[in-house]
Amino acid sequence: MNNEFVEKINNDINASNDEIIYLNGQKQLAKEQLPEEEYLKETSNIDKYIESEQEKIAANEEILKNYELAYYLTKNLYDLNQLYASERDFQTRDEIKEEIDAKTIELESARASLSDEAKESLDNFIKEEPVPTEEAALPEEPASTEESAFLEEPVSVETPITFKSNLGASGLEKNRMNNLAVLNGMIADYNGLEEKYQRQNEELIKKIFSREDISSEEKENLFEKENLILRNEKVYAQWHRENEIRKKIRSEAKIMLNPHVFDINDREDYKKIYDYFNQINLHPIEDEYFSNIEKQIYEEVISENERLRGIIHIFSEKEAEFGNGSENNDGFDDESEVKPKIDPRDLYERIDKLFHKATYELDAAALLEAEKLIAKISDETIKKEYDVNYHLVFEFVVLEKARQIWDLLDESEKAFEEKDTKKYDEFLEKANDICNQLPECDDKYHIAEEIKRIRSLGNVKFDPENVEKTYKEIEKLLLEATYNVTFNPLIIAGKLISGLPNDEVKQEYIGMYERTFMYVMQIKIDKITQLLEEAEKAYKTGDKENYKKLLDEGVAIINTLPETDEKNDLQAEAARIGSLGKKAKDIDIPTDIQKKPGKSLKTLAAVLAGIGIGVAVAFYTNPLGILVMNVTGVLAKVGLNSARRKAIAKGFKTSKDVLEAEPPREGLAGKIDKLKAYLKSEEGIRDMIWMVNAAMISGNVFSILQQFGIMPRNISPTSQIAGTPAPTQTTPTPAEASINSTYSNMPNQVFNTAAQAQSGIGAEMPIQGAFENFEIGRVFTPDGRNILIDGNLTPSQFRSTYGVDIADCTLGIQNPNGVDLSWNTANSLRK
Amino acid sequence: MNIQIDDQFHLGDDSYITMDTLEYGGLKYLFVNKLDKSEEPTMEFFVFRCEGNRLIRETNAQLLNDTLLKKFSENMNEKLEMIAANLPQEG
Repeated sequence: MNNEFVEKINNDINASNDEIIYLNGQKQLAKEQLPEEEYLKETSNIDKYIESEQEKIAANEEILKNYELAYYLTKNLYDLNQLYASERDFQTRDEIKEEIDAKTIELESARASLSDEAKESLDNFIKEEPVPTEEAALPEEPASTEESAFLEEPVSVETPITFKSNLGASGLEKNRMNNLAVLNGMIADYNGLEEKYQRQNEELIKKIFSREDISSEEKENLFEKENLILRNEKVYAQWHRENEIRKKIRSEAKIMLNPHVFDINDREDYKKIYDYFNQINLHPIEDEYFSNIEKQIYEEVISENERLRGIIHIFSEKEAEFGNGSENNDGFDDESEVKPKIDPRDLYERIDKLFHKATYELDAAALLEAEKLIAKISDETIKKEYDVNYHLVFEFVVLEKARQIWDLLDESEKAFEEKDTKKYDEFLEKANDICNQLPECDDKYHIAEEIKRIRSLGNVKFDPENVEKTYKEIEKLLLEATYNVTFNPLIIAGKLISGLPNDEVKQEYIGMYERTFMYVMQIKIDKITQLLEEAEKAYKTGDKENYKKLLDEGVAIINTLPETDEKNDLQAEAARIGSLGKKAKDIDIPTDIQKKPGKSLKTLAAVLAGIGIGVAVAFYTNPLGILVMNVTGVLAKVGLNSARRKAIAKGFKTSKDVLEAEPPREGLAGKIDKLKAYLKSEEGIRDMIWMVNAAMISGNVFSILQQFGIMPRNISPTSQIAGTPAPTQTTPTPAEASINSTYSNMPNQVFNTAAQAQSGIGAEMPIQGAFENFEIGRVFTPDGRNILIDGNLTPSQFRSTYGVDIADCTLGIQNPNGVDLSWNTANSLRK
Repeated sequence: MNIQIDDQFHLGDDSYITMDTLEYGGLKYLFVNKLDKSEEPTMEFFVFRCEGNRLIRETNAQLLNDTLLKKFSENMNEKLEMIAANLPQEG
């Protein structure tokens, strides 16, 4: 930047520099011409003048620095306010507002140090140049003229309906091209920063190394210092601009893919969302790096919105099925296809098939389709049953998929450690693809976060051949951590630092790292302390709404801290303040205490049954929301995360490899794995599913695992879950498949002993013969065994072989061809 | 307070079943499962501290993580092991 005021200050600095050169010359002259005593006296005087000039230079440089800072902040605030006004997403608006507030404070501080003359000059300068278009060394927004053009395009979202009417197929393309032009402009600015830095660097070299008043060593030192500042400014500017580009892409994605701005009743409108999404591939950003970022952001935006995800998914499926030219690719099934015209059983059958597909092929899309069909069931009771089954299958699919993803992520991270970028990308992309298929749930969120983290590793350009580049990366990350007050960049920085070859340099960076860590930690602790104090104050003044809000906010920040003593202290403090809001005393007093023998084991059995069918059960405590234990495969994940957190905390102190993960803890995990190994086998899954069905059908859920319950009692006996034969018209009713009325007095047909045969007393009929029209296939004993019985056994032989009475078992009924039909208790089949 | 394993009780509007109990630091702790309206188990588990005739929900994360849940987890392991032993053998 340049104006009269800046020129004046620069002139003053130059004059001071000239004066210093002159005074140094005088010193040299005095040395040559004056006796030593006089020379020392004269030198002392001259030094005072030099010192005074140097102070003048420092003061003027400080003025210049604050003047320029105030100028750029003002510009930046202007753009941020523009962005704030045009942003429609509340969360993004909040983020922008936060940035505006922070920069306003910074601006006030910069202005406070300026003289009235400087302020007046600055104000006039800004007034004359309200929308600066020239490039600046510090963070700068994209050319505002282009920005305005973009916002004034027909895609104004002030009124959603006009948005719709203005967007035909060509409208979408036009929009994309306009947005692309803006993005390309921003990216060109970003890329120009490197060149600009090079230029500034050359100027700096020229300026410093042409000085004659300082030694070579001083020149080197001065250059190193100033170059570091210059480099950091560039890194900051790059980082800032990249952020702006990301924000722009995200805001564009949110507007263009926002289902709410479209007409909910118009299928065409939904298709436009998909079509716009396709524009990203049809007209990608030229720059590969940002093109990938754009794709990633669009995927994120889509994955964050269930409705949007559904729309994209449906149209993608349709397109894959019918191709672009299909007449029926509007993404919606025909009503006739969904609403059963003849028999709702067709619908049930379809859902059952989808459940089966989801379970056996781990097909999340089938699950989504099943969910859609369940919504169409008109009978509320049946719908409820299918809902229950849906959740069972849902958890199962998510769990299995999550297991696959965690394995892939571990492989990816391992490949990263081994610098095998091909494998790293391959595993990461596979994991990402599977993650995208997952239905919306907490697991998906956690996995997506982990993918993001591991992906960020890949963004680190670690190059052993170019250590200088690594330094820059580290500095960029440290700056990012400081600016955003976040630990995440530190994790990667720590990794890079630990790989530095030069010990001396390494120690220096460790120092920077620790200072940054302490800084971020302190800022967070201060904020938490403040929030907790305010929460307590709010509680005392009866402001319960604010009390909860402030407490939640504090706890959320606590949860971002690494595992340290400070975190523990803050958690304890939050818990203390949280306990203030507990309910009144009388609620804490337990009432109606009753002994329920075996119920704790039944509860545990419910948890165990959950494992077999994929229900993830979390043990947790409120209000801190800390996940402390988990009883399924998710345990491995929790264990790993916890190990990572510890390793990270350790890394902060020792600067060793900070991502060294420890294996999940032994114990519960090991046992669950053992169970799952069995349950994962086809036979195991089948057994467990049959067992659950048996429990549901018998109506006595506690007869399965040593009298432990595995499903709520209110499940109807007609419930079926995935993987089991759906009841058909041939399913026997108890009346059809019943035990012969004469069973207790049946003709003697099988003699268990020779004596019985001889006397003709005590003989029994084989179990199979007890049924009139059907046969028994599998039998579940009350202690949980699943037996494929030999039909020739008599009840006594069965009892002596298996130690239980057949009458107490749950029986699987088959037709004469051996096809499984239903489950019944023996008692329910007695006539 | 004499609440034992298998004791079901009400706290406010909610019903709980005691899964396990533990004495630690002179205090008694309960590991409970919240029950639904039909008195069937839910996915919600809590740790309560007995103080006189009152139950306080334990929220001290360090205490929970380092001691209480570790111990409760061990006890649950033993019970799970018992159930697992009754499952059909692999293969």
